[in-house]
Amino acid sequence: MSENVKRPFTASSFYQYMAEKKLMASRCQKTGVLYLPPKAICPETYSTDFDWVELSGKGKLVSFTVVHIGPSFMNASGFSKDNPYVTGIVELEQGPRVSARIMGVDPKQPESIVIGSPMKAEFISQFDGKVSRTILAFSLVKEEKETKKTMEEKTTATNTQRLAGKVALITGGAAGIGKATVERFAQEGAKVVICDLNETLGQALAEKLGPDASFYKVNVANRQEVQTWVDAVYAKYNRIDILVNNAGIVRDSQLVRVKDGVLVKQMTEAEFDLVISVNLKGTFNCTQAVAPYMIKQNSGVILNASSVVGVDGNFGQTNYVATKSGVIGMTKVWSRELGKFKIRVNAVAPGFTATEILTSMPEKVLQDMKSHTPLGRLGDPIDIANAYLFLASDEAAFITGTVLKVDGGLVVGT
Amino acid sequence: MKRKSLSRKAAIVGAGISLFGAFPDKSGRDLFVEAFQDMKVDKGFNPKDIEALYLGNFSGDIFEGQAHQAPIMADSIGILPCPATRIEDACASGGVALREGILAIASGMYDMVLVGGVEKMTALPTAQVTDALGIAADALYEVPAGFTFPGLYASMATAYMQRYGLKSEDLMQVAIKNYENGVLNPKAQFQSSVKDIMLAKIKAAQSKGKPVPAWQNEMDFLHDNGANPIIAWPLRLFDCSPISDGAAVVLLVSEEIAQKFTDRPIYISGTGQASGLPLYSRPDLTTLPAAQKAASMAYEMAGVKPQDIHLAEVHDCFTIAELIAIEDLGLCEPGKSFELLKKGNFHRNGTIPVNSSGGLKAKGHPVGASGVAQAYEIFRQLRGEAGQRQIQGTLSLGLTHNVGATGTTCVVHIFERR
Repeated sequence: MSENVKRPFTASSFYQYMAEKKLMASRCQKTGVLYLPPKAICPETYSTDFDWVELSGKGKLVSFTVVHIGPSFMNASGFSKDNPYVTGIVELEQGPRVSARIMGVDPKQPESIVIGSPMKAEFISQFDGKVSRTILAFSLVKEEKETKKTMEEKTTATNTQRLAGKVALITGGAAGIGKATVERFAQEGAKVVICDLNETLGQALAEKLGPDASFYKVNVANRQEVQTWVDAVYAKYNRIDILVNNAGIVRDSQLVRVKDGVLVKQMTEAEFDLVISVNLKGTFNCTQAVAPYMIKQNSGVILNASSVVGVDGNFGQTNYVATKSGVIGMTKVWSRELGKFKIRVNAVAPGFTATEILTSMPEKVLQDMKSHTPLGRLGDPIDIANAYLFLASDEAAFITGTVLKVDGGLVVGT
Repeated sequence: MKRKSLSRKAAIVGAGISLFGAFPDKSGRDLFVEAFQDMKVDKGFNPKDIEALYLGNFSGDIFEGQAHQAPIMADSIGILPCPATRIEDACASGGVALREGILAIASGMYDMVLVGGVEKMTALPTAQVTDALGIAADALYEVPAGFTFPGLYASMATAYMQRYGLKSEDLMQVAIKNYENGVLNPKAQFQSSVKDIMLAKIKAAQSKGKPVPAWQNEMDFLHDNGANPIIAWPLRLFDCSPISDGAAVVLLVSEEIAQKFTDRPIYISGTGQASGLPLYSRPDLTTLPAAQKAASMAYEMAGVKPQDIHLAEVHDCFTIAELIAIEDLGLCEPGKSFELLKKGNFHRNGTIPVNSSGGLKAKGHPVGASGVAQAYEIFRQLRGEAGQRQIQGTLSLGLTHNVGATGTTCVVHIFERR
């Protein structure tokens, strides 16, 4: 029980606290008794002197049901899409009881759910297709031994399924390097969540990969869309393990192009802003939405798409290079800020890779690139996907804040 | 505190009921008129003498877009301008309306009061009805956790199972009993036994040339996820009362004048009502404390004990609710109801027949009407007018038990034939 908080009493204050991810009960100052639902008047003393006390969130399961037809309106909208789901009543260690969603149990096996099991509160986002709201949930507290066993199992599983059970969000996952990464992660057992603006390709890919893959149409430059997406994913899986900030675009143009002393063309402000908003701000948006969930679970991997041009620069790519350099900077900042929460942040800097994005490049430039690459070819999307896989896996457990070049040894000339 | 009693008692001298079921062409007021016209008073009465109407109606607002139904119903039976008041206490609206009528007569204000209940539910799709019923629970603290009404009662069942070793087969026995009783009730929504329903489905499959289900008996049928889907584990479809249209009325008069209307009035000797915490914050999920409180008030007022009761209509909105009701009323010890049910104690020929009407389960549950319909059944049974379903033997004391939401309101009445 932590400090007393002097928020005025209203029936909905409980939810105001919950939006701040605090489980609070009202306490009669005269008797010290805690109440949920919060009361305005103490039934023992008729006193109206209450304060709010934060509860530990630990408790035990009192009873439960598996709802097969969930409510679908007002303050319970969004449940029916989860049918069937488990909900129940939990007695908190400080005494009060609450009703809450029960996570991490199998609704198809209600007989395996044990009344009296220790539970721990968490706050999940409930997304009903329009709005996202924080709701109270409880999950089973796993015994210490069990956790160790699970770790052993995971280590064994790593040999074949390096991302088994991990929830991985991949932006721009419908095509190119993103698609290869989605497929590679799925092969290694991850639950892949694709976001892209290309609905047709994204949906098709998710369907091809089956029930453990899903597609969301999201513009990473739009903070609201990103937040809604991330909340929905967390509500669905109750965890987020990996974010690959892969979405990116190019709008190439020279800073200024002068012919015969006359300015004939220049990179427009719109071209500059658009690339910045998708590549740089999009990465910022997604990471900022995901980080609180990773902090809560005390684990996570964030992987950013930089580029060799972000290190060395490139002709005609002021905007793109700015973003790819910026991504390296953000990677280094975040690795410092998030390290204490066991969140690793790394960047991958691909060389020139055979994806759709290169179709805007003249053939001559591509040939030139190959000739400057010791391994003598363009990168394949799978090369980059494998780098992401390595960095996402536990094999990279001690790597953070780094930029891994995956470029066949390319040296970009001037 | 001194013992509570009524300064004068009320008696029921007439009762009427509409057909219960799903009637696309009948509005709430049609059903109410049907119930009123079904009411016959032995020595006659003048509707102009009705001094007040208390109407149980849960949510005409949502179900049929008609709020404020009491004056409309009063008008539809020609008793304006008598005061007409709607009572809303969720599924206990009808039972509380009856209590308000009794208290109004006890106050000396009125000598004749009409108590009615009406609900027209089937105009809405099932999902919307479920939502509308759900808001009778705690919309701030229960519904946002994903609880539905079946879900809340299912949580009681889960807790009961854990504590007393109840099996889902035991719950099915409640449904089987109440459907059997419904067969004998010409006003019931379901007038087939579970076995008949099963055989009808087999026959339908045969006549349509579809694969014939391999159910050997009604338990096979009730365990079939297709025929009897899970609504909120451990409760299945046949554990839940149906969505119904229906209405019921009883005519209450003061005891002094009761004999003017009939030689066989049914006196209300006890009334009790109590309120309770929402389900999640109750210390024990296997009982409704408000039902226990309401029952003890009614027993004390009537000066009788649970073992004196000859028959009871209890609020079986879900099968588990009937078992808990039997225990809360003191008709058996806590945790014993399902074993005694298996022995036949609560069947129509048992020691204390429960829900001879078919209960909410088979008769139907037009929520605002249910509490009044329970009184209708006891009135008929105590007067020996229940037709095919008449309970044999001397019947002089009957009881009704009506619950709002998960027991946040409970109201109990004791009826006496002198």
